[in-house]
Amino acid sequence: VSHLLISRRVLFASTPGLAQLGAVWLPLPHLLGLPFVWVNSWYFSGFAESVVSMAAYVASVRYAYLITKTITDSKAAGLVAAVFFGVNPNVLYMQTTGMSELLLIAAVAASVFYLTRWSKSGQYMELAAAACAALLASLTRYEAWVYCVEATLVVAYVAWRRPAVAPVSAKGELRTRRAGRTSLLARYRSMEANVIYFALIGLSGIVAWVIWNAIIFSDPLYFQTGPFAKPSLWVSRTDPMIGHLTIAAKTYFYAVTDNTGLPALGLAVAGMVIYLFRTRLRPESVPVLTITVIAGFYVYALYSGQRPLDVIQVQGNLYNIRFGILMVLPIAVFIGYLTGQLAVVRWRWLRTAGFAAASLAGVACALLIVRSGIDTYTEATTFRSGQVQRAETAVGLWLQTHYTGGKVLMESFGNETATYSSRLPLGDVIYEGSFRQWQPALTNPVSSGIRWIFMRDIPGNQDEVYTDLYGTAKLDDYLLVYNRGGERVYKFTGSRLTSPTLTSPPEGKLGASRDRVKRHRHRVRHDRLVRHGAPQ
Amino acid sequence: VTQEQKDTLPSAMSVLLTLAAGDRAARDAGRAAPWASDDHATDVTLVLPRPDQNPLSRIRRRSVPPVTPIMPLADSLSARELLSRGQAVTMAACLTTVAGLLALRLATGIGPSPLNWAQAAVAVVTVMYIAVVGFRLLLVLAAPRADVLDFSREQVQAIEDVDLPVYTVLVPLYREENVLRTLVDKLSDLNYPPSRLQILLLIEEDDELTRKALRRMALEEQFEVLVIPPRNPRTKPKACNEGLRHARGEFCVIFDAEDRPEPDQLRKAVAAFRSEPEWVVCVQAELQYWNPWTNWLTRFFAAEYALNFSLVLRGLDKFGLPIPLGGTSNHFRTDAIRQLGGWDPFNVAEDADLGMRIARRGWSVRMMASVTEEEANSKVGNWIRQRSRWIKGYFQTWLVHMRSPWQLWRELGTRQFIGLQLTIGFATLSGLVNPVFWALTCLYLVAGPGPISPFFPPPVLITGLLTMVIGNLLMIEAMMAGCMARGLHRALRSMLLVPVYWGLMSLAAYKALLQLLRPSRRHYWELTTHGLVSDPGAAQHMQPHAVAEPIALAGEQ
Repeated sequence: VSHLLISRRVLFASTPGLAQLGAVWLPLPHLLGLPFVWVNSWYFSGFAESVVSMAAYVASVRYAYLITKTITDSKAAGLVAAVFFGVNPNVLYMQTTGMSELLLIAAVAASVFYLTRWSKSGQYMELAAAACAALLASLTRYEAWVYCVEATLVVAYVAWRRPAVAPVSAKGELRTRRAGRTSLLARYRSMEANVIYFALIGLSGIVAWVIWNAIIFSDPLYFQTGPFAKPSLWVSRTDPMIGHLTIAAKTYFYAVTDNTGLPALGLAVAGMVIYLFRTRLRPESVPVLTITVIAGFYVYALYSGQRPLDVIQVQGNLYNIRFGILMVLPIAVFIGYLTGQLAVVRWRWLRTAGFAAASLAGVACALLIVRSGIDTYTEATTFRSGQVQRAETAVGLWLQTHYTGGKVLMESFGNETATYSSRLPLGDVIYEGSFRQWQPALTNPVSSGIRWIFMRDIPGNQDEVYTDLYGTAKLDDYLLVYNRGGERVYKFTGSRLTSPTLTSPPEGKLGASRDRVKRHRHRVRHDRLVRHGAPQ
Repeated sequence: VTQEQKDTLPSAMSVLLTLAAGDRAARDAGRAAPWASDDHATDVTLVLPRPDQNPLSRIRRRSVPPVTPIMPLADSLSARELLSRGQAVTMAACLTTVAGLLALRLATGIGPSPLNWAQAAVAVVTVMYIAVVGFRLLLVLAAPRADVLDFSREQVQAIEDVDLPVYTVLVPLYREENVLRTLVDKLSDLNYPPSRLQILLLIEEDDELTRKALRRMALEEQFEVLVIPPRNPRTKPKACNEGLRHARGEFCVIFDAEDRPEPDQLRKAVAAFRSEPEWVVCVQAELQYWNPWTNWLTRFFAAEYALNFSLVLRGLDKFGLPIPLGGTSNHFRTDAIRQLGGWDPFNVAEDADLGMRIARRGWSVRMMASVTEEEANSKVGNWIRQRSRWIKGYFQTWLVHMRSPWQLWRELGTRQFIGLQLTIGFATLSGLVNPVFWALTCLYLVAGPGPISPFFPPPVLITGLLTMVIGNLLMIEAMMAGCMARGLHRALRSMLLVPVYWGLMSLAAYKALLQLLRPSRRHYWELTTHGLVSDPGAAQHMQPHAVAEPIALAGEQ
């Protein structure tokens, strides 16, 4: 829902523009959704963002096939990997949502594929393609930043181990060698050139995001230190993973097995062991390993309290279980590699049968996951059926039928479901991203032309509108019209509107008689009494 | 002169007499000979090696080569005039309209304001940038898939000498005494039977230094010296046209003074022409600098050449778009180039212009995988002179071919028409526009958005900003790709500072514009000094070839 809202706000917010991309979520999923969110039916059905995931799913399956085919020289092995990845129920569920995981997987898979090709062929265009894919990944999710750094190191490693041979015509380089310089120098130059060539594009997304943060929020690290990005918002300091590496590793392990199934993980580990044994870290074998290293990043992030992740086996509930889905890609690739070993079998019929059996095993693993529950789906449905979400949905539906026009003061953070389900015109919603409108509206909603005020009053989780307005005279001109499940909606009843931009309300709807104002004020007072108790 | 006297004269004098007789006959007939226009002056001196003094008996006396006329170049395709009448009228009408609308606005408040005009200009330029960057990126990406003409050494060696046609090499020289020795050595190294090779050294009559240097040298039988009289325009294409008239070869090629062609290049070109249909009238070999590490300037220059010849031109080849020829190492079917009217002596980028004329005729240019090495300019002043000439020539070429855009479009078709605009037109204009936008960016960084925001409506601002950031990044990456393609690994780190080089290009662009606006400098050929860097690798080629006696030029014996 947040992704949809961000994309839509770029086009239709009260202050539209690229600044609506904000600085917490990386921008690529929202930018890719822009061509679709302007269609109401696609936006309200969620298709506008899930279409991006769907396309990413197709690309991911393709690249899983291509990576495996490249490292095994076997189309059948590639198909096995594609089956294992493509029929995974968690992957299938995630590609129906507007979440950014599939896009990340597609970009990383593309980058790994081209990196592998480059490490085999030395073709600089393959390296450029790998860098472009890494750039896209780095603008999708922060995990990719780790991948980008890893990939840069891999480029250095490959170029050092296998310095590109200068074309015959490149006499400058050849002369350097002829002049008797050490081969170390030639290796270094090749390495430096390839690293610069890759990093200029591959790391530019990270640099661009830091600059963006500096420009928009005057803080280059706002995405990490900003009020909506602090790990403390998500991770409790009492979380058992924090400071305990074993628990963090165990948690991530369960997240992976919940996404892929233990049998698949076992097969992949076997494939990886054979891969490491056979390739012995040869230059062309290293790029594929970069995806697995991201698991280490996740474990560290859990250990240091940077990311929240709950699994049934450790915390007793599900939260962000999708973090394990990135490992579906390397698991599929290494299972494909394992089955690729069938190539040594002399009899063709046996090879074919083996590949068919491996593909069926992929389907069987998927059925096992379905049988034990698709955790990403379960987490989502559990979340949606929670009290808070039900309350948000209810108030959203209420607003759908009762909203009669005019500006709405409504914090977005934490109220995304209400905002989305209310179908309020985003151009009328003043939220924390409304440039130079938010603070004035909080300070004086009437003079800002605010007709409706939405606030969240869940104990311990009140929003900023509640904190700033509730119990103050700022609400004197507003009538509480909805108050259920900690969600409150106030409607303007006064006549002191000063905003020249506000259109006149329909006759008989917002016109406020003295009696109504009195009744409203009485209700506000009554409401305060109910909330905070009568003064003694 | 009687026939008897004629027979006793040196061959060079015979040539002179033959040419003079041709001129006389034409004048007597009350018309100029088709090849004897001002553009194609005929008072040339041809000097052949003197076989009677040559110790090698294999050199035989040749008959005086015939002079073959070149089709006259239509005025509409010549850069003699900067603008055609239609262009001048159109430009004047546009300026008058804009001025009129501005006056109307100032007087009555009706019509677009100056700010509107500025906003429109910014929007148009932004679109132009997007088009140029996108186009170059497309070419770079397509280059690896381009099917360039590539022949192995074994393939070209398999061609029997008797099967090789006569090949003419045109070498225009002016004050090239420093590199003459190396040039002759390199041309002598060409792997082509001398009896089927005609190397025409084209020397200006008033170029004493080159003539003196030449007098001290021994030339083999394939070398001939053509002395060009000092007439305006003093340009390389004029000399090339003279050479073309005296060319005996089925094919011909131009090499510059500092060139070091791959020895097999002529054989490769023959193989290329024989493998291609007749309408492929030119194959362009790749140029590369042999001194990329001299200084920072040569690194950028080498990278730019690497990008252009290894990627961009190959991309143009891939898409079948008009290829602006590279000045040297372009091989032609001689009869075809004569039909085209040779080179335009008034165009200082005659190579690019010829590439466009080939496309307009419906013929084609192909890229060939063979390298000619050149010396990269290592001094800024010298570089700016050279670059300003190139840019001036590109302006001339664009203006010439846009004299009748409708006719151009009909001749080229939509795809090639757009290709020409993006290759010659917009890309050249961007050199002029860049400083304006750099200045606006600096103003923004110093004074904030206030002063410039009126010129950039939000959509244009976002598009322009993205184009600036992404476009510059991609162009730097493209330069790096060129370096990677040629193994110029050491140059990659310098590419991070390539905007400095682009700044120099803009400087040259403005110099070119100013020269173009001054009639006295419009056709001026900014001479590039070669031989600034001594090439240690050339030493091995410096041993004198003791195969021929030094020659003396006509009249100096």
